[in-house]
Amino acid sequence: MNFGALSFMAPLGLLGLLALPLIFWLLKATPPSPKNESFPPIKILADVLTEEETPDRTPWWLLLFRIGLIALLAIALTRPVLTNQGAQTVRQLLLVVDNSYAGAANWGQIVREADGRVSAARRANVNVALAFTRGDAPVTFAPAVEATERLKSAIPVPLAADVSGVTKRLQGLDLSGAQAVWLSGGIDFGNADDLARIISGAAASRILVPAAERSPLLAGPLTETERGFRAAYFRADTGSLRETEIVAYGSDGSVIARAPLIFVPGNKTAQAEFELPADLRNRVSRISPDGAGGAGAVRLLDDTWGRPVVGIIDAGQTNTQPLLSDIYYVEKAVGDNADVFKAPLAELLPLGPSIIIMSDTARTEDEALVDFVEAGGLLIRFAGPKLAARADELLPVELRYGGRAMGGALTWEEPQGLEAFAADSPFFGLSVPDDVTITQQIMAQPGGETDARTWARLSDGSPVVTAAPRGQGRIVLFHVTSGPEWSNLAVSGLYVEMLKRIFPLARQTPAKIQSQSGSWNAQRVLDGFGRLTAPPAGAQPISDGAFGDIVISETHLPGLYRQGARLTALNAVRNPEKLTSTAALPGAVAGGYSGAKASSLEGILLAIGVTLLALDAAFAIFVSGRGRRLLSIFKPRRAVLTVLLAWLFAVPQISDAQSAADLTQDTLGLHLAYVITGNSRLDRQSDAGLRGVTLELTRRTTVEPAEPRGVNLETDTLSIYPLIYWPVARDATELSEAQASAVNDYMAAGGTVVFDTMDAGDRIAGVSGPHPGLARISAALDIPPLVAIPADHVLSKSFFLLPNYPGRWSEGAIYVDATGVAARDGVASVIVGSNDWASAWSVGPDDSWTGTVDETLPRQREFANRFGVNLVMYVLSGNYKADQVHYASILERLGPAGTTMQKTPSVLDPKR
Amino acid sequence: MAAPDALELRRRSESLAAGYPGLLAQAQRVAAIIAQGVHGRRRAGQGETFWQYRNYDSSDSASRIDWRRSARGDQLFVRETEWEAANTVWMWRGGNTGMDWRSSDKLPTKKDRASVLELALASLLMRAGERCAILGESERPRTGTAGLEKLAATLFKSPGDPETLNAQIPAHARLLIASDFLEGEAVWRERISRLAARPAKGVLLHIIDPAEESFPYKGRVRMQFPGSKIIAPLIVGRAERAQAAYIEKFTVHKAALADMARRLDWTLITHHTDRPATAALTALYGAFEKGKR
Repeated sequence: MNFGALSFMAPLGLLGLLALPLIFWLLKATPPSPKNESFPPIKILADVLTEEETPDRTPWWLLLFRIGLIALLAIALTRPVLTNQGAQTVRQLLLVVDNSYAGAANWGQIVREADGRVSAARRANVNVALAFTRGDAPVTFAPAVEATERLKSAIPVPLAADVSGVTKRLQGLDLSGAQAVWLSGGIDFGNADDLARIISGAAASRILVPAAERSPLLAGPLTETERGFRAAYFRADTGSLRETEIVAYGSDGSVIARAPLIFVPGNKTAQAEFELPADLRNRVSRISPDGAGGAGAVRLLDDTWGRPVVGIIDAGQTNTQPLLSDIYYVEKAVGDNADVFKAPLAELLPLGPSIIIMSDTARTEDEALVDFVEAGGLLIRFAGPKLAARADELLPVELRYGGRAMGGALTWEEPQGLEAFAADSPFFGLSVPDDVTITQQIMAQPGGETDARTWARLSDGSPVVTAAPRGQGRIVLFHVTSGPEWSNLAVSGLYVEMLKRIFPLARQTPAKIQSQSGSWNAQRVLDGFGRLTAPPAGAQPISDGAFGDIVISETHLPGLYRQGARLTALNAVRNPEKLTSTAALPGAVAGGYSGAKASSLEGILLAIGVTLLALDAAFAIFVSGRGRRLLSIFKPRRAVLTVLLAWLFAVPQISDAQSAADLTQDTLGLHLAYVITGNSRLDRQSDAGLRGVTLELTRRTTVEPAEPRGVNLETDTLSIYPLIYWPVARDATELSEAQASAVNDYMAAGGTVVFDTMDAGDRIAGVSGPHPGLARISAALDIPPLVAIPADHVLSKSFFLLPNYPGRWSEGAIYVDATGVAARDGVASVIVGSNDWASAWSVGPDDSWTGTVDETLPRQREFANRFGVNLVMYVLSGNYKADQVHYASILERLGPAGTTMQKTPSVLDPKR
Repeated sequence: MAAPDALELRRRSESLAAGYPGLLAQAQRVAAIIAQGVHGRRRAGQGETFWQYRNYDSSDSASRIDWRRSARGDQLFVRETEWEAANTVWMWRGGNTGMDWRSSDKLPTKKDRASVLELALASLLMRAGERCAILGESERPRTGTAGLEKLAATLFKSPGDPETLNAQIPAHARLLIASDFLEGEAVWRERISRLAARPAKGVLLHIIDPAEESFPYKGRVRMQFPGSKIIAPLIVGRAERAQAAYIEKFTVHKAALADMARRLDWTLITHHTDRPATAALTALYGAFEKGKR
């Protein structure tokens, strides 16, 4: 049922509009439900109500609203559709959809176009034949609903289009009187002419090709350059300028680099230049254009990329200590720049290394090694006593018999440094550290050839590194040992850099030359859109021999294939330069995807209808008088509001816990910290006290801490504070689990917590028994065994010499860890005292002393401050002053001469 | 305005009574029946307080001569004390769920207002040495601060059951009955006549919520007796139409009450809960003071 562009899929729904008069009558007849009121003089009222009750009416606006609502819902249920007039068709439709990787590049457009055409066919009630370019379902004309279902479930495949297959399947189809549309991805995989001919046999035909700016990209080979690598890309349709960005991804999907890719009009190929340092370049595992590009635009990289496979010949001396074995040094130097295998030669070669490193102890003249080099391998070898005694075949230059030693007890010469590298050397540009010296080397026979083959020289000109090609490969000889026996080159950073420069010189050894019988199993495969996914159940292994020219198909999908330790990529596109565009076919319309689609109004109308229905419920509540009560619930009570406001304003003042900015700031300086207990008087006192200590430290020592910090144990990072002062009130509450674990971590990581129970005064007055607050707090903490502080503890000597540790009180006992832990430099993780130090230290905002002391000791305030300084010094410097504890016995050991010094302890006490 | 507790009730009534001088309730002069007390009767009689000296009369016994006064002159004087008697006011306030109702959150319930007024009056009376009691609830009339305390507690707890109106009271007592009198004029005529027959006299305090008088409802309303399902709810189709007829009925109700009070020679005071309580207290003060003259 059509009204211009508007058509109803279920016109019977319009019968629902017949219900409108009924609803009108019902609403008029039924009064709204009464309001409930309580009313004591009901008896008097009862006398009044003798007349007949005339019900209240439904308000007219509500009546109108409800009728409109029902009408809207009735129309929504007829499933109205706004159609695109152009896509309407009366002929039956043949639709060829390109679901190859070419189609995947513009899959959204293709599906939208196909969907629009099938929907139009459905409305016109004509049959549709749907053919995918990749698939084997028979093509027949069937009701359009079927085609809709198939389109919904269709996904592109990472394969080339099977055009000849489609052609074959279309053979039996009678196309006279049908409309044929080919939704092409834009790439001619061969035989496209045949398909075009069949299509043009229909009564009306069309070939849709994406616009040149959107034609699919095809990934080409990668080449490494000095500063990174270069990715070649191809396109079939050269009609326009095309700019995009190529993204290099790591194996974990992270973006490593981006490079622009610009196709000039008329050019089929373009290149993206990546500038990446070698270690980043090695991490690239996949490149693809920014945004969806289909499997054809993805280039997978395997283990032949970047990281060379390095084999180190292991001579099998297992009993050698690692630091004395020369292999150890070269292995460390190769490090992360390559995949290193250490094995005897016979086991190394099957792994297909591109580089073999041979130290002097592992010297061999095996035929296999010679073959390896001549077949293109790179051999790096090191000199040593064996080579000095006898030269062999695999050498880049002729050697003199014996070695040359410099700087020894019996030589005149000094150890030699390296000369700056020559411009033709691969090491050119590396800076030579002055402290690299060579004490012994093997001498090359001088000569013009030797000169040309030298990569590095001593400062007197004699060659240290020489290299020469051999067969297709190359031999590099270090004229020193691989370990530090002959030179300290092996322990310098230069060694690592030199090896790094040599590695790219190794020709990439293609994996297929290795004779292995194992077959390749798909590990990750590409889907049509170029994403790596798990391989489907139908994926088949590929035998080693067939891997090189396997035909990519449903059973052999492109992706990463693994064979033992090796990983090889099978890319979706083999010869991208050979593929051409379908835009040149007769009847092709470039940029023909309109993207227009018939839009259903059903959803939006239903949504509006349901919203109005909800609104109606609200109206009903208000008409029946319940609304006022509903609103009064939300009316905020003044008291609640006041409390809320008070909380809002009070919170930022109560807690000065660290923010992210504070954290950054605090890590840059030294801050003393105290625990925010929640008792504001205590917190203010801790702050004032620690500011007092900070002031004294700045005045008297070179330790100059910044402002003290209050820390919230639960949320703040504690590890940046060396010391946390923790005043414990008697009513302190238990720690939460998070707080306890934060404090435990802090203490385990080397922090010191100073607990101050502040009750030494009370204890004199007779309060005894365990401190209840401390007992509650320490229950969840890993507190080590504590002892009363020994008389000669470092805390008494770390800056001032202190006989006791007074605060506001002076008699309180102090407890510290029973045993010093070496890892934390002997510093106690817990100091427990009761002298109320913060009270004695505290200073006002103007740095004047505001503290209190009980003056049981002479100059008690001064000694309290000295204790504060000692405490911070102790925490910061650890057992630095611990030897002073033992100085008496040290002096005694020094003998009679030392005894005179015992009288001058002032030497050890700068402030005394 | 939240429901007050006993203490709050007491506080409110005290602040309400603060502006009034102590009140001496009029006492029926019926000798011998009325309990003796501190109620000065402005005439010579039995009592503690000095009233006047008068010349000795031969009929007086010699022991009554005030020798200290007489020694100052030649005449003999006899010392007379003031006749003292206390009056008792019995109070009652209705407490059914209809009383415990208000039409708006901004108003007090009728019960609260009645309690406050009665307590304020009791406070004034006790200040002047009178004794007060809750009808049917208090064991005996009390006076003084402690008495007021006790009275407030009793009044707060008092259910205000109509049964308590039948409690025994001495004859010639004074009564204060506060209620909305919605049970109907006939019911109340019977109750009040029984009290008046003791004989006793008093004041009827008619408490009215403004909504009960003006009937401000609109639209379709289901009316229900507050807190009780015993009286069937009424559905009013269009409340605004019933308004005029209702107001007329309510006026009749008020007139019937006034008529009853006049015939029994009781005083009727009408109080609306949206008016300040002081207006009602002033009227009460006047009503109890009146009989004194």
